[in-house]
Amino acid sequence: MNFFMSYGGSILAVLGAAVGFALAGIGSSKGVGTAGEAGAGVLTEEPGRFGAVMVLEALPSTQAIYAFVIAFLTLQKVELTMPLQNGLSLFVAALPVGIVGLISGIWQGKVATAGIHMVAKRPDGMGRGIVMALMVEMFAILGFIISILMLGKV
Amino acid sequence: MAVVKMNKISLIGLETDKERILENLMKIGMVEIKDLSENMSEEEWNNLVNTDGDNEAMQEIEAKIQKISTIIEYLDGYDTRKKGLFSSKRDISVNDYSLVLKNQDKLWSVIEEINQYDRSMSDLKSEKNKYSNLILSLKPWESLDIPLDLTSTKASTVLIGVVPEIADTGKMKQEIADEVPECYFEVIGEDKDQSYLLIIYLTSEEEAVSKILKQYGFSKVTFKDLKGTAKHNINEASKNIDSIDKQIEDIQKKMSDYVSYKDDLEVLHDHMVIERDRKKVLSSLVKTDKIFMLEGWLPENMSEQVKSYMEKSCDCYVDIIKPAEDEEFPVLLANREIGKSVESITNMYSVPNSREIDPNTVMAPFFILFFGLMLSDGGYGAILAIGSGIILKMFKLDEGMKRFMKLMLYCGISTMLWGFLFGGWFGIPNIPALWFNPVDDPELLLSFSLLFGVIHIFVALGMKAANLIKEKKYLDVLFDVVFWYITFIGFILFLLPYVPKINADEVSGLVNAGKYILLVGVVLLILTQGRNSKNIFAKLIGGVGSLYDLIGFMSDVLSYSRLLALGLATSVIGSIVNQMALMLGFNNIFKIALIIAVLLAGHLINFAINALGAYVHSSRLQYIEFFGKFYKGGGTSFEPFKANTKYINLKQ
Repeated sequence: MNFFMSYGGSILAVLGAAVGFALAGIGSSKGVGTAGEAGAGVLTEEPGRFGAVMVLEALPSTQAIYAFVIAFLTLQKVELTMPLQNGLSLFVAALPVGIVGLISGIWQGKVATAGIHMVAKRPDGMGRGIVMALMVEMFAILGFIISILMLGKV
Repeated sequence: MAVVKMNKISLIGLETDKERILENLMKIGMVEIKDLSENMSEEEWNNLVNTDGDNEAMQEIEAKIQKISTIIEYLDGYDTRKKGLFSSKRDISVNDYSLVLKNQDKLWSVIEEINQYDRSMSDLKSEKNKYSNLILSLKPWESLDIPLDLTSTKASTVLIGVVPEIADTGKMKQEIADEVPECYFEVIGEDKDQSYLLIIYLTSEEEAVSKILKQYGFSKVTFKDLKGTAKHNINEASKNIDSIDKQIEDIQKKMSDYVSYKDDLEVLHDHMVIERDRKKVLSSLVKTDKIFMLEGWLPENMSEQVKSYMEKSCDCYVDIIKPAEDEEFPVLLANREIGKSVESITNMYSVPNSREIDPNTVMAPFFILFFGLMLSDGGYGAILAIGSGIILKMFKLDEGMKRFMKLMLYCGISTMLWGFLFGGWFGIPNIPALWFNPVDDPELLLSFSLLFGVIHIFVALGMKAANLIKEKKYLDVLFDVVFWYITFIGFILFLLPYVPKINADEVSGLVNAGKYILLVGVVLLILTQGRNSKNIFAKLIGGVGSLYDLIGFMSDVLSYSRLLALGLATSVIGSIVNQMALMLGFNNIFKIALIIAVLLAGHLINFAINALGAYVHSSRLQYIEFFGKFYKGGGTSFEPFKANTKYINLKQ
């Protein structure tokens, strides 16, 4: 108990950074992964669409980037014997970007996959495909901003 | 900044003069030819004229074009000349052009020859394959010095075959020696899958031997049609492969000689394309026995010139009229530098229709500023600006690429501007900022991002008003734009205390004023927004329903928070890259080299990802938040009848 009271703050903060990044990282991996599978399939038929497919595949990677930034900013605030409540706040602050990143990464990957299929059939569909995938991205951005604002309060 | 006004052109000419008239039109390259065949469903037309067009000739040319382009592609593989990073069309004089066409026959025979060589090449390759497979299958038997075609003598049987790698050949040998003493057993070779065996036994003992062999999973190997030992056959085969290689080399040498024809083939290709297009356009014309007629669009300011040129150069009658008030015409955009650079972004959303204001010039500064704000690192901006500047200067680019590079140049400069304002240069800390550093104060940048959003959306509403004025719907300007301005301003003032970095006490007066402005706005909207409905209740419901747009407005504005998010991501990741590199320490030369490598790779990745992000997100802000307010689009691009060449530019 004593140990927890003195080091719990820093442990919680580091845990927050880990959880936040892990969740969003999973989301992005899954999203980019599904989009990449579809992309490889399309490229066997239409090698010329590489540019469009690559852009669409890369879109779901931003969730991990946002969480990466949050994790980094969190770790900068960690001190070995920080008060428990500060550590807990840092932990909570990492949650929006992590949880929203997990879900939105996966779903953005699905939309990007659909976009890639669209590009396969209509080369001019790229813009529309990107815009639709960016609709999902909005929530990751909001999660990121909330996490940033929460970090600023600690 | 405008959609170019178009006039309608009708041309009637002699059937005998048709080729020349079309050639001249193509040379002018300023007239889009309209498909008249769709008028043929009307009886009036049907009685007078027939459709033109020669599908068969067109398909014939199409087939030729296919043939040439395969050959060009094929020769590309042998072309050792250096190709630029950005390919552009070659300039060619009319003289050279007609010289090439004069020698067409030679080119066609070249094409035939190349096809022939290609065929024999693939034959040779498959033969070579056959031999190398043979060698592969004979290799394990190389040390066997019994001829492969010898399978039996008078009293004995010679058997070769394989057992799987798991079979214990030692035990097998023992067993055979025990059961059938008059038998020769040898393991010729082994690899990771199989063991290769030679067994010679008295034919009378066959049953006993094959019983044992069966137990070990033996399978017999025969080489049909092969005479002599394996080694001999291998030597023969490799000799054959050598000679095939030589033949292939010869062909390749000849092919590289043919590369000198590639330029001429390209000219021929483009010539055929022009021919095809001229045939293709015929299907849009109508004709009688003696005359033909075409209709099309051309820019208003070119009308007189085209008319006099055509009437002077050919025997034809040209009539030019203005389009009817509500008639859609093909859209050609005329923009200056900055507006032109974003045209492709707008066109990706939709081409403006012929009746609305071209949004490019208004949209361009927003796109460029938002891009810069989201990339936000002056160093990256400098790289982008310098890189695209060099490409613009050094390379001959086609029109689309040139515009894109110009856009990147502007975006790079804009990014540098934000770099100065925020003190962000390659993530290096403590560079003084002209304005403030968003990493220290993200809330301030969030407020300003939202402010930029409000400005962007207000400009979009202004564009809506401009379009309504153009359509002379002045009342709608009041109802659909001015009232919304009032409501939005009230709404914003009312919500001011919730914006970060704003002191609620200081703005309480504004909030109060906002309350009343909002109230006035809402009442006005309720009274006017349902005005198109029939009865009074529907009108009121429509008016109240329109208030939902307030929520839409709020979410639109919040959407601009991405300006902060992407900008912050760039600068934070940039500084992480620096910190990671410096953590390595400077003790020795290797570490310093490693630091440089980490810095280069890290910043390159950060630059690439964030530049892409800035581009797509800036586009999105234009598409959804900006265009969504006023832009209709749905036009078709002006596609004049002209020489659509792929490789060459004909210089007059």
